[in-house]
Amino acid sequence: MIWAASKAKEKLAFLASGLYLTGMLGGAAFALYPTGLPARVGAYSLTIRNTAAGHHGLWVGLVGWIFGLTLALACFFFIYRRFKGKVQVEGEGY
Amino acid sequence: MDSRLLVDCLHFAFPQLYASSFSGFYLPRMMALWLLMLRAIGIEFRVHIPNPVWESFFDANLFPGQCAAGDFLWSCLRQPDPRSALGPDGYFFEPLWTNWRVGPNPGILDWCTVLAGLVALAAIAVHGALYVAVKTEAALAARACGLAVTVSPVPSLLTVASLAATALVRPTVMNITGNIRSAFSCPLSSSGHWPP
Repeated sequence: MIWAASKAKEKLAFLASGLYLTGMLGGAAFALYPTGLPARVGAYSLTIRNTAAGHHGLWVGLVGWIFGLTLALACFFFIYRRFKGKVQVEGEGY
Repeated sequence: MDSRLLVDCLHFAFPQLYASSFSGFYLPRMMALWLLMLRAIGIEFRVHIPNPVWESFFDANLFPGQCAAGDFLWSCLRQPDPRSALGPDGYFFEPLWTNWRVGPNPGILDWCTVLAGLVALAAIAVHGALYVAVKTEAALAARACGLAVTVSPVPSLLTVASLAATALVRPTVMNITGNIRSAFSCPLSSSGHWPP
């Protein structure tokens, strides 16, 4: 990231920064797994097993998550495609 | 709407985890929302009052407002700390701070979580500067890129310090490899919840 930024390769540096953030968040999630919310008394920790809903709730969650993620990705691609390229600093505002 | 749907899915699948996390960390979440309001106010009102004093005031509002993004990331990074005073009923409350130490009576803010917050803030600042560099050109892009280069070592150093602090406070979380293995075998091992 530092090398790319110093060579004015902004896109590569931005991608590296994104990977760094993803790694941090993923690392935190995997470090904690399967605990969702750790407690000082280990037995009271909330894990994905002792907080999981019933069969129906998990299915609704999975289907809804796939639907929601698809919508989020579609929205993400639409917005970033719509506003792709460099912005004009002295352009229109509101 | 779509991101709200993703949060609702967490509520469907793990209702107690969602309820306990949100109620226990109610104050930090509310603070993040207040910061987001400041951000919106800074962006929306700046151009409506053509006065240097008010423009500076709304510009200054943007800084704490943008810190909300770091605040959200910090919330995720601080999770490995076993501070939650969760009881057997799954509820807890923690003051915003107590004595800033890691010990039997910690608050939400102590030296370790503040360090995680600084990591988040520095990482988001560099990421934002690089995004500005990608989206703009000429002098502004060069300035943003230069700022990113100057500030880049800070999140790297803070990340190392934060990792060392986490290893000191809770050594078990460093077993990431084993956790990754068990995480990807989760659908098989949790077959009790997923009958064919």
